[in-house]
Amino acid sequence: MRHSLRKPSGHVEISGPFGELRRGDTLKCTHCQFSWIVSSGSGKVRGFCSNCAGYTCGKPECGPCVHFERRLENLEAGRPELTPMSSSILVPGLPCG
Amino acid sequence: MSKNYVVNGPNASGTANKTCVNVIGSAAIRPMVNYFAVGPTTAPNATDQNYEFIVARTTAAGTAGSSPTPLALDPGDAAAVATAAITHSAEPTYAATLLMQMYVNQRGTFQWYAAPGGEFIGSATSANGVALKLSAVTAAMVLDGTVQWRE
Repeated sequence: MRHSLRKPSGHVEISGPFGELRRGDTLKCTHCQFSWIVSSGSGKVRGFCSNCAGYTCGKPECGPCVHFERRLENLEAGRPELTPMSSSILVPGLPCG
Repeated sequence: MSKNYVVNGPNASGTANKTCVNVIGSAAIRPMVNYFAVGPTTAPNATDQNYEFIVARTTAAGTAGSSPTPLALDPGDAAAVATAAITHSAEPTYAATLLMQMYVNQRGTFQWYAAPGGEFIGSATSANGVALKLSAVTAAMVLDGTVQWRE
């Protein structure tokens, strides 16, 4: 099967009314897991999260970086789904000697 | 090693928001949906139409028409931890964020399979799951869904 992407998150096969078969690759939003069929030139505006190194679906709520694993953890802990990770603070060590 | 299970079921005939299959997780596991397929079981409507279906997480199970036992793809595997529900009479509660939304001709079928790591993952919370439903169509129809997952 010929792929349109180097690293698709999935594949679809759609049969049409006349028995034709269409195949395509899907990408997944790294923040909400929404998947879409990749269609170059569609005009849909998607995004890319450089923190997660993954595509985003373009919805406003997926703009801030809350990885889907974090969202699942939020749901499991009873927190609001979009609660972000607490920030990491690097504290430089004191000079020795 | 993860185990794979499959369930198949139709929705109750209707024009909107009729769930075919809901894979319901538990506090112990996160079901990871790696394949689904949909296709109509009713005869095509005289006027051509599209049907819309969605896949989304659910946060409450609703009332199922029946609860089939998930079939292990490897007969040697233990029974699934997740449960399944089909043909709902009261819809599950769906999360606002969808996992997939598609429009297909009434004579067409659709199947999706995940690349490794591309699965739809449900939260490990009791009564939460991942479900497939007929979202909208002009003339009432029955859509049959097959959902496969690993846990």
